[in-house]
Amino acid sequence: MIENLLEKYLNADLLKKLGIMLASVAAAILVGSIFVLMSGADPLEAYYYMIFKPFSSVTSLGEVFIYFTPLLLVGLGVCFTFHCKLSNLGGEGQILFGALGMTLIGISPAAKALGPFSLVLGALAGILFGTLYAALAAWFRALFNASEIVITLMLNYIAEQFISYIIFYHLKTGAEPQSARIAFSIPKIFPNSRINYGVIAALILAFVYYIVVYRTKFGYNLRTLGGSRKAAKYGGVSAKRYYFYAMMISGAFCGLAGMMQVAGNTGRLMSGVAADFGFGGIVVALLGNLHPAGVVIAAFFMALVSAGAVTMQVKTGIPTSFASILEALIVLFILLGMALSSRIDNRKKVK
Amino acid sequence: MDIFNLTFMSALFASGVRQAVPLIFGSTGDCVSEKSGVLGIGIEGEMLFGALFAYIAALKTGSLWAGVLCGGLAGMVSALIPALWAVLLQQDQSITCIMFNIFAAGFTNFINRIVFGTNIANIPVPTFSNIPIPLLSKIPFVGEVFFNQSLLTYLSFVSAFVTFFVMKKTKLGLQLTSVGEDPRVAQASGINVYRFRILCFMFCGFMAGLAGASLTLGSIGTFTEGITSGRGFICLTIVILARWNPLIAILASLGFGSVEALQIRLQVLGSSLPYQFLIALPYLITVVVLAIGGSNLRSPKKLGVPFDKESR
Repeated sequence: MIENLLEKYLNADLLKKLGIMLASVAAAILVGSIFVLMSGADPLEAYYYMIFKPFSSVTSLGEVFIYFTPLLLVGLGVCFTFHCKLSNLGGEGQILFGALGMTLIGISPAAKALGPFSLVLGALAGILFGTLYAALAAWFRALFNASEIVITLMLNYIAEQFISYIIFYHLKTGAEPQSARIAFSIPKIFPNSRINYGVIAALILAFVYYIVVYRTKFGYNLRTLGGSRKAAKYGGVSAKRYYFYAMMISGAFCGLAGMMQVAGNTGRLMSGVAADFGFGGIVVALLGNLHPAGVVIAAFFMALVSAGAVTMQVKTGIPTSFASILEALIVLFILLGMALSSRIDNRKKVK
Repeated sequence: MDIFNLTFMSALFASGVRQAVPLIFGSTGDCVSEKSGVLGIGIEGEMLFGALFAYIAALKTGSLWAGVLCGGLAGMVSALIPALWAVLLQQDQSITCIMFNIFAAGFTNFINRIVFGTNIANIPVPTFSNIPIPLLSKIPFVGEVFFNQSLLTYLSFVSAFVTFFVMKKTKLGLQLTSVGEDPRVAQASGINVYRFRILCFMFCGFMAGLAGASLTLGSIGTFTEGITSGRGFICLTIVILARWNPLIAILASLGFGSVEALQIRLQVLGSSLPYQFLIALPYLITVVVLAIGGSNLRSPKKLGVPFDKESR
């Protein structure tokens, strides 16, 4: 049994993929140090603050997990769409609507009486809002055959303005354009760190993702659709319906990520609550190779980079936008590695 | 309402033409890149490159035209990244371009902070001034709207017309269509498809760079982070709506430009609508336009499909 498992997971293909991932991260870090030098800082010092410093205390590690939870959730969400060769680039908008859902429940008069249950209700509201907003994009694609790429991107800008309108005109409290504080936040695991129980919920969902995608008929059909549209059609899979499902599930995960942002991080609805996690999640999904364990590790790494970038900016003056340069480079190098390795394989076959 | 008189309208549409300039440059470039079969989603990032480097060059040299040239070149060089990955390495074009856009956003913010520090407002450069065309600018209304503009605006119109002419009337244009419709046949007829697609992509990058330059040097006079705010994606929509025809793309760009001008004016006039709805207006219209005009299209057959000359 164990031998079988080992054989299945430690085959050459996986090792090669793992090698490509690690080499890409290393290459990105190397190229990234050029940028560090450009800003007049010392790369070793900069990377120390970015990658190693967060491990120095429970408090700073807790900050990493504040980024980890939403990144993991969005990453898992976009995996569903990537499995059927669809791109959900609307994560930002869906996160914002999820955050709105949680906020509406959290600041309602009933929330105080509900206590922890307000979080459950908020999560449901967040998921519902995220799902509906993603369904809108899916609906445009299904009905009008409009490119989901441009539609989801446009819906991001629209969501941003809509949320800005809501916090300016309807939920504004005090001088700042932001909502009131929600009555009940996700409890912390340790007293002196911001890490909260949302992490555990996200990890459970990573397991659920594994079951759904690799152990159910739905997941099988989804992956078939991604492999070959024709094969899926012969197998009786309705592409249109599965695109809809994939987008909506993706939106649900993003909505939940938005809920986590409000209930576990900001405590209120404010602009910038989506914090580019919609795009960070895409990086996480690709770096994790759409595999649940990979996505968890990738989400942790990306969270480390994002949280570390803040410390790095304070200590060395390197702008935090360095983190997005690094993210993009990693994925570009992975794609480069994949292309080169498949080329080498082809050459071997020909010989 | 009495504010909608002729003076107001001509000022509105003149401003609409100015707002349309980046869209005209961008959609002209994208027409060519998409005709050759490569999606131009990276145009947003190329615009950012163009906008930043045009501003820096104009500020350092004191010459607006040096800025425009630098912006175009920066866009062209940056376009090599998605071109290399999408064409030579045959990777998924949308993922590659989205990653490139993330890179471009990070890179331009980074350089902006490094060069100018974390000051909130950059030093503005003078923008292009209007040069009325003799006689034509004297035509009532039309003259005021179209022929009393900056040289950059005229350049955008000329570039779209020239591109249209090359696409429809020359051998090069035929080759372009063949590369996008059936790269295998094009390859057999002696066109190096990879080189052709990369050159088209670089042209698109150059035009996107000019689009970025026209944002910073044409109207605003400075660079702010994320200055393009989705204009690259609006260009993509314009190209779909215009059915890959640069001349129709001019009309669509003018439409979107006028909407932008109208929303800015309504904000200034203190409209009763919340300003967020006004800002969201171009995006809302993009979605509606894609829904109505995005279906049943005759896109280049191999658009978005990587070409591998060894596959069958």
